Amino acid sequence: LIASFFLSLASGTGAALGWCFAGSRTLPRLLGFAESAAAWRGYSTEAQILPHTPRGTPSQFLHCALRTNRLEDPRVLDVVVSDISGEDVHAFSVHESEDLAPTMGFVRRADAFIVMLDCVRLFRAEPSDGEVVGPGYDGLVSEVLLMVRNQLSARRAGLAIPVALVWSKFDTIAAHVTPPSDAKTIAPGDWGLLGVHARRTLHALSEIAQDGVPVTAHAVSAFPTPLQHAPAYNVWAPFVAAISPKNDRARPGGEARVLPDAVVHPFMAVTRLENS
Amino acid sequence: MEYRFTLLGARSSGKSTWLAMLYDGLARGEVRRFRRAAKQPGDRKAWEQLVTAVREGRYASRTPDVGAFPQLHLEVTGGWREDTRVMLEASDYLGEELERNFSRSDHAWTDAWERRANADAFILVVRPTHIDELPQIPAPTEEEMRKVRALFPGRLFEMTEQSENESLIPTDISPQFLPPAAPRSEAPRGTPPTLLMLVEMLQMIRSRRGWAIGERPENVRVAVVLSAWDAVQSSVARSGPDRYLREKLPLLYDFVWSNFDPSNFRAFGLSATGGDLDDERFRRAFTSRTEALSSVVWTASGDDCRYDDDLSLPFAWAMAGDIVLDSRS
Repeated sequence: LIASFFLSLASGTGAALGWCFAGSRTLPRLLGFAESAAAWRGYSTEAQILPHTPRGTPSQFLHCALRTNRLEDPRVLDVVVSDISGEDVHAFSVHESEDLAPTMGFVRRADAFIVMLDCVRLFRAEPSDGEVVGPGYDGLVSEVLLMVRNQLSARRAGLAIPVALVWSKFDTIAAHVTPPSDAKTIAPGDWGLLGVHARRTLHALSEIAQDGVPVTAHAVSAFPTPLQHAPAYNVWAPFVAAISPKNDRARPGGEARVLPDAVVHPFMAVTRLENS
Repeated sequence: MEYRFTLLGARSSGKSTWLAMLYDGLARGEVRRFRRAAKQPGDRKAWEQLVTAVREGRYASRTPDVGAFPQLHLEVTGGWREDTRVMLEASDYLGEELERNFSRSDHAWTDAWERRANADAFILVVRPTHIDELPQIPAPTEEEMRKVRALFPGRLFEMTEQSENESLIPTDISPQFLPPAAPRSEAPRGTPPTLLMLVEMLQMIRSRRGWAIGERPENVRVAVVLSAWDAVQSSVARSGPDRYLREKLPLLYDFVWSNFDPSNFRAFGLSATGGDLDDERFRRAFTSRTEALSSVVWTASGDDCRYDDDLSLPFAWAMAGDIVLDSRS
């Protein structure tokens, strides 16, 4: 999703939707993602488009600054996305252990949550490489949503922290599910087969919505086919939903964040920003 | 006064050829916006080495004295700026330095780069026919964009219920129907994409100058010079450099637009030699030319392009802005 988002931004698609690329503190890393995606030859060769992030990998972040493409609008938005192991997220979901605090600390400060549900794993009948699939996977994602709900209710009550669910690799089930036109629709009956197979996930999402949190669900295909063959589908939608409430908090261009001297170096690391 | 430019360009971007042609153009009286001042630095060996190749009808290679800051004192001519004396300081560097800075395998930020970061204006040199590109994501069709825009009409960030009640996804895409895999390039990736390197260098420079992301500094101009413009497909070139930059190099365009005052950046198409010096017939015509073959093109408005044969135009524009575009003498 991140690789596709960046490539779409780099190809100017974002400008058509009102956003411009304004910079990134993590360009080499974004390039690495893009190159891995470019090397992917399709599901027939590998299910994973990007290399798996091993458990225990310290949290890393990707940064993209966006600017609205209206000349008179000076706002700039820093989008910082975490990249951590799915296993660590799931482990933290069922046990907020202190061991995982350094990796998962960002969830306490995140301005939005984008929770990914891999349609291939959801519909796979047999586990591959020991990964949880089918109903078990649905349960796992619902636990992640419960953790998000817990974070929001315990520490962030009253703040409009949006939660966006992404049905990733949607192309693989597109023949069987027609997504509803309104992303706010999260009733299982409106999502066809997904409503049947991801009942726990959608229920957890509805519980978050009942708490007054803005929630959305998005059918997304970041790389419907190998890169050369087809455009991505709906990649911007979860980001637009996620940054929607932050729109008011976007800083005017030129209003510099105050950074410690040690950080104000061309080779600034975003992880330090996170700690500052 | 002292006015310093920094030229940023990756390997083979054409910056050395441009500087060599400019130096020779000053010697041949073909540069109208500047002339050489009477008092020059004693050591002009680096310039001489740079220019020898083009005088013989060969492309200039990088200066042997990489990292030096050869200087040239110029005077403004034509009255487009009151300050008349200018020091053109053209420090050359290895294009590989950009690659190293990008990969950060070693932190190649040096005093020389610090000096370049403090320039009065920045000139980015990009050779359209010689770009290492980012992996491309196919552009959505107009129809797809229409549907996406319908999902987010009016207020940009708000979801809407006005979208069309139909799936936007082709229903025949599933793993078994995927198109055959494209052949995989076995060549290991050598250099980072050209535009990413330029953006990263500009980010480093901006960081050193203390400019926040999105801050548009006052009175700092950025010229994007598209070199070897004569080699760009004529149907594309006809639309002019502004449109080329916006449509073909959107990452760079968006970055510059977002971070510099739009009235302070401009694209130029530059043909320093006027043709391909590796073409023997052209080379003969080039070495025996009696008038300038070079050209600079810019977009006046829309697709309306203007031409000039003065290779110093991007420098003059970087100093004084659009006023120099109408001051043809």
